[in-house]
Amino acid sequence: MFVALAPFYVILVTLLVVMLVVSFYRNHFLTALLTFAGTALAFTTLLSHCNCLPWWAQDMLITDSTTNIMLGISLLITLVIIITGYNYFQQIADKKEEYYLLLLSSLLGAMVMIAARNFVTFFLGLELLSIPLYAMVAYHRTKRESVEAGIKYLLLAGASTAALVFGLAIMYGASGTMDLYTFAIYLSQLHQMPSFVLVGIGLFLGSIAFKLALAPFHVWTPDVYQGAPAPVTAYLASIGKAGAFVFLLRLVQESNISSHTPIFYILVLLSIASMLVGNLLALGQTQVKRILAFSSIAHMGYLLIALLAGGNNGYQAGMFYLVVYMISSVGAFSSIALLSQNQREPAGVSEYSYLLQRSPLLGSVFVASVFSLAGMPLTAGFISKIYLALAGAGAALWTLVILLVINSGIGLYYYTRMVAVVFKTQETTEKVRVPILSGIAMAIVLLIIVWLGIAPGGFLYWLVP
Amino acid sequence: MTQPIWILPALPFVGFLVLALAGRYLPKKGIAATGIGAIALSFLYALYLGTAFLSDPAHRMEFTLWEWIRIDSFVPSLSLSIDSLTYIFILVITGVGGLIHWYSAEYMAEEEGYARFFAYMNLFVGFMLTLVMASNLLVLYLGWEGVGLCSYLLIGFFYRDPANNYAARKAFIVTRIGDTALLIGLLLLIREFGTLDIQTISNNATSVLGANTALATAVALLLLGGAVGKSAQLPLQVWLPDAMAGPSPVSALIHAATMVTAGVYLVARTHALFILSPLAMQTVAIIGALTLLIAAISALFQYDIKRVLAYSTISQIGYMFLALGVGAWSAAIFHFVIHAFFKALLFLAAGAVILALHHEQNMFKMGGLYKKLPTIFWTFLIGSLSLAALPFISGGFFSKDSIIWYALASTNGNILLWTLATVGAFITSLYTFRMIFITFFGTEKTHVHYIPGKTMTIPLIVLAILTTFGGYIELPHNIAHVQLFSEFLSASLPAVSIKSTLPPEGILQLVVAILSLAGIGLAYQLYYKTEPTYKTSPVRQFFLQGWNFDKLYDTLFVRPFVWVSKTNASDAIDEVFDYVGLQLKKLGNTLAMSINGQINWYLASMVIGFIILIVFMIW
Amino acid sequence: MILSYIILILIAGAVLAALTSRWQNRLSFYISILSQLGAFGLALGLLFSASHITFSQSIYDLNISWIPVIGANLHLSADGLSLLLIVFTLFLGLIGSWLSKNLPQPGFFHFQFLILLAGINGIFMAADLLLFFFFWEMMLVPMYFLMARYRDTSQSENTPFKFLFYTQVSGLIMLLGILTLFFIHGRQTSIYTFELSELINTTLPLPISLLIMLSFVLAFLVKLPVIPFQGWMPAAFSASPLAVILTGILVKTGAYGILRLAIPLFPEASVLFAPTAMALGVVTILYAGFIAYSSNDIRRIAAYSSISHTGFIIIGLYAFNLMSWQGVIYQMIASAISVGGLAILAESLYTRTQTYDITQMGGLWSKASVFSGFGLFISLALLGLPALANFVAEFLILAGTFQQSITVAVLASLGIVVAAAYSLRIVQKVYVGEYKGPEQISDFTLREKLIMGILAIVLVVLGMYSRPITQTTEKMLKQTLILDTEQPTYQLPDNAASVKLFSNPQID
Repeated sequence: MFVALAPFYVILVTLLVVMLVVSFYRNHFLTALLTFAGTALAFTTLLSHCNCLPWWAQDMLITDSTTNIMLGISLLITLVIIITGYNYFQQIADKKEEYYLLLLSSLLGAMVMIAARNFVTFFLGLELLSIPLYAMVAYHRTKRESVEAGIKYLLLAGASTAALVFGLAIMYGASGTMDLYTFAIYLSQLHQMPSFVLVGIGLFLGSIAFKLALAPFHVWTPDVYQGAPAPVTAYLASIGKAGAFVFLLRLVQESNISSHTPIFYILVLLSIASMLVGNLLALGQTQVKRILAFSSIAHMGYLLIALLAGGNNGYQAGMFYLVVYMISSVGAFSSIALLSQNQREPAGVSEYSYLLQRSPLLGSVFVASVFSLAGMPLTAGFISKIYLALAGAGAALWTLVILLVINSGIGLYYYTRMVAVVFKTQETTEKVRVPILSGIAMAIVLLIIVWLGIAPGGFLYWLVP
Repeated sequence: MTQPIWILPALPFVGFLVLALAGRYLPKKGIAATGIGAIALSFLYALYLGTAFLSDPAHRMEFTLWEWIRIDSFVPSLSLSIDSLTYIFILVITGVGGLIHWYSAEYMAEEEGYARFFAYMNLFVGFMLTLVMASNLLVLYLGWEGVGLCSYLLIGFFYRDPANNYAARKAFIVTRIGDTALLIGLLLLIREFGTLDIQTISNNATSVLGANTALATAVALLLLGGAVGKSAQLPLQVWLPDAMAGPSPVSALIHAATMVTAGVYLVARTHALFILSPLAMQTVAIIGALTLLIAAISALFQYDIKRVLAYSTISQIGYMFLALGVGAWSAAIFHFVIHAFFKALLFLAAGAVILALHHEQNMFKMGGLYKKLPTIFWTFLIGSLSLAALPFISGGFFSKDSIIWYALASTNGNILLWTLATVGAFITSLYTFRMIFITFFGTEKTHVHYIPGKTMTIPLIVLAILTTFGGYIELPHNIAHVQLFSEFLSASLPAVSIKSTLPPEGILQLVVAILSLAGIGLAYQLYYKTEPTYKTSPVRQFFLQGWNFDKLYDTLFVRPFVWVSKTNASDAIDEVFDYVGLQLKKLGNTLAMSINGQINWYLASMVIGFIILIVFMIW
Repeated sequence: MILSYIILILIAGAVLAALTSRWQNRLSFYISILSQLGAFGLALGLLFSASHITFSQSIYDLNISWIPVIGANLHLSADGLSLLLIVFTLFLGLIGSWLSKNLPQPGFFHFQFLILLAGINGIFMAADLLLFFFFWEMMLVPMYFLMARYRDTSQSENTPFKFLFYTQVSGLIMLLGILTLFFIHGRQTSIYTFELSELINTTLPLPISLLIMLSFVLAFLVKLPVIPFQGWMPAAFSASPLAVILTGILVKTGAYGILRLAIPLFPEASVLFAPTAMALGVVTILYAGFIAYSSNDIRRIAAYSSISHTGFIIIGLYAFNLMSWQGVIYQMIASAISVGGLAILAESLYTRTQTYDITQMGGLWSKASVFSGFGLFISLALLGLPALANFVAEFLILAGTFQQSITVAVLASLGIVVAAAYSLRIVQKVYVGEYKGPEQISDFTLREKLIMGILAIVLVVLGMYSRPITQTTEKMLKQTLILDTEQPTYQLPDNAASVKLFSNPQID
């Protein structure tokens, strides 16, 4: 009866437990351990997956395969982030433990968003996700840019939330429902959309675009990504985007929303703008985190293609691309986290020189993740890009697909710039020592990336609705 | 009967391999022995074949080694064949070639790269034999390019001096141009005949190409292109004089006796195609006539003894082409044989002189050598007599006389060709004896510090004998009925067709004879009576430079090519790519200014974003 | 099945080599050599038995589901052509890895190198379009890694990027083509599959098929490369140990792609495209030849001469007759060996003189005669001297093309003169003249002698005896040709006579 909600409960309980422990006995290791155990447990509960929600939750949440897959991925990624983040936060002088509280509550928010079938639940999850994130971004209290990033994120996110609320209000006013499916039906019955509904949807889309960092709502990305501690960036880049996209995906899949020309074109516009802006901005950058930030903008642009393509292909492409993107960026940012020493992260591209020599494992993971983001063969990114193209071609979105091709060409420039230095060698380099657990975690990420890049059949099979 | 005739070319090739791979470990004697031995053996084998050959009524031997290529019905095989034409060439190549090898054993003794020299020489003979024995035009082309390569290698034999290499490169590329024409000719033949087998082509030529058609002319002219390239005829004659950069034996073997006459061979071999196109025949004749005159005149103004000989070679081959053009096939081949003898002789003798004077090639720095080097002098003189075609006492007379006669008498002949040829004969004897007098008479200017030994002189004597008496196997009709040569050739080459009405041959012969004597007399006046000195003037310069063909081609072809190549050395297309990339990057940096870290600007941009969104959607 | 073993052996070797290098560098070298020899043996074993089987009904097939969701299969197949190329690839691979014996980080090198070989062999085996694309792209990654790791650092940073950019973008465009074909076929037959043998039966309106064909051909032209897509090639040649493999193999995959996919899948469109392709080919031959003449970096010369050779390939491919196609296959191999040889010489020269600039050299003959001898030999091969493989290749291509278009053949044959010009220029600058280099300079080592010796022998043997190549590929080529000539419509007027098999009406 409650099995379907188990992950949520487990995370909630863990949250409370950790909170109590921290307030009585500060111990970084213990906190981390508890968090890890809780998240792991939550993941295991997923395995016994049933689609049986209690009556009161039924029009709030939905636990279909989509939910379960995304929850699973998010939890796994969180585990990786916890492990790889441990040493990172070990470097911070005091007050490491709250980070895990924030992480857990934010995760809970993300999970709610993923499972939401109601605009209200979605909004709830969004806030639960975002508010801890402000603090997490600014967690380097002693570092100016970290704090600055936190504040920026807070202000901008606040603004977008305001827009979201307003948008939702309008939509409710028009349709009289906050339920995803009912609203979808309402939309699909409309032949000509009244303009105020359009305004509402516009505001809604805009704020989601902000979450996904789609141009022109992307401005915050570089600063926040760079300012935030690497593990947080990893979280922000991956899980922070999952919920919003999944919800949007559901909406589009359920309604024929994208068949309404204005909405369709607005999505196309967002997609094209994001691809171009993201890639062009990244060309000139020299800071790895900034480059990745801009590239994430472009990626969200690609992702919209799947959304617009619609249908089964569109759905699978979207899910797969999202998952791959999440894993790859976690791989990249986590290796940054593991590379940082005494509170200093390697910033410039040049600081990644000789990486393969300094630590074969980290080097490989970094290269694999970056290449996966670049959509290079033998990595998951390649297959996901193929799938995206397949969806696009199937729906005959030629403009977008061709832009996708061109942009991944441009993208290669900065991706290879990051990779090329890794292969440099010199006589003597100080080795990077990677803790065992982190090493294992990274190895697993590497394996997943390569495995999905060679034999994605199995995973794609799950995505068949 | 199938004799293993492939042994003929195989022997020199083996010699080459031995010298190339083991040459460094052999003593000088061993090297010479290998080099000479290979040629000598194949000469002996050729003689042996001769007996079998003559007894064979068909006058033809074939041997197929293996299929080279097989594409459906197109199957060029590595097949060799010998008919009378080929047999004559084989004898000359191996015979004269052998003598030259022998001579080289002493001539090259002091030079570095003894083994390399003999290796190249053997390789050359091997390819030359392949060329003449090929019963398939593709195999012929193989030999054709092969000899070109050897010529390239041997011209640049003294590789330390860049000038030699430029000469070698020039030779190779100029001939390559001709070869390309030949290659295209082959392609055309393949399209028309579907095969490159010479027999098949010759037999079906009329039925496939049709007489006097544009197609036939095209084929013939393309082949001719190859021929003029190799045989240094107009317009591709420019490479031969420079080719003298090579050692004298090389000039003797490759650039006088054998390779340069490959063009003559090719035309004779494919005469079936040429006959079909009167126009092509005319072209051949005219090219020959013009070349012989132009080259002869240039020879008159040279000071370098080898260049004199080079131009004279061009001119003599001009005679052969003339003969081919008027359809006097056997006359052409006959002149080739005699020319091979005396020109080889002249080059070797000249080489001996040069060696004796320590690599002095300027005639005006020589003089008075007839006392110092009697053997050289006499042999050289005999050669010159033949070159100047002195009646009855020189082989050159018989061969050249018949050509001049046919230039008029043949159905394709006319008075113009005859006149050119006759004038050529006069000039020939003039420059020949100019050379004799300047080199061997007058006051001695350079001291002789080396007397060539037996190894060098014996080949000279042998060649001298051949030169003098070789002519008697083919006498003009009006003198005696000794036409062994043309009879022998009649198996493979058609006889010349004679006009019905003709002036008496004797008178014309007399004219030619008198003219050549007159030339000697004039030379005696100019260069014996008065001490010769070398004068320069624009006109002399013009002829010295061989009518400035080099300058012409340089401005027409070489410079433009190099210019284009140099200007695009950095590959413009590639640079465009880089440029676009750079521009994109710039664009990116301009955009990056929007990410200025100013929160107020960020907020503004978001608001703008929303406005755009909504306006766009509503409107 | 056996086909899959070839790939598996290579991959296993790669992993082993990577692991063992941790404690024993030499070991990884031997492992890689062994696995390559194993694969080589297998392929060689299949080669001659394969001359009579066709790609679609090959007997060695491995066919298992790969991505069931979209109906992509892991389907390996082979016929004479593919096996010939596989054997040759592995042969070059052995040479390449032998050359790279003393590189730093052998484990890394051999890992990437074997993966590369596996990918390339995959290209030649793939009977499923998506799989083909997968291998096609997969090959880039190890190639890129090797370039990034071993490129000479004097070159600019983005040389490997250029390579990646060109190939990747063109590859993705091909992907679009593949997908379009996939959907069209799917909607026609409601069987969604990437099987080559299935997709061949797709009926396409000419404009569409022209578009898709272009999307394929673009990728192949880039790989070859043909002007104006040559930019990456000279850049990539600065990645030292790879030059051999680059010319040897990338070129071949491009030509193979056209022969295996572009022409059979889109016969009519290909016939329409032929004039353009031939024009490109001629331009390539001359343009590249000209640049080769005036460049001083010997690797650059090698690159451009290779490009110039690909001009012949493209011409031959679009002449649509057996002769020119045999010539093309010949050219792939001959060009690979000769240009590869030049690249090897360049490296040996660099290790001795510390420069690639031929104007800084000269008179090598007086010091290192064996070296110079081989150098001369390679130059002669480059200029297409008869009795060497390159001549047979160029001759067949020209002869075949001549059937199709006299103009093209004539223009292309100008390339032979240009080739003579630039290859003799190398001889002139490096081997002859006054000696310029360092005081004492070592002649070829035994290894270099052996490697160059092998290459030379192969060139001569193939130059004098063409059976091994022509026979194994004849069946496949004829099949394709017939397939191609079964399209009476849309043919160029003057093709009518020449698109059919080479034969001569007059004499038979």
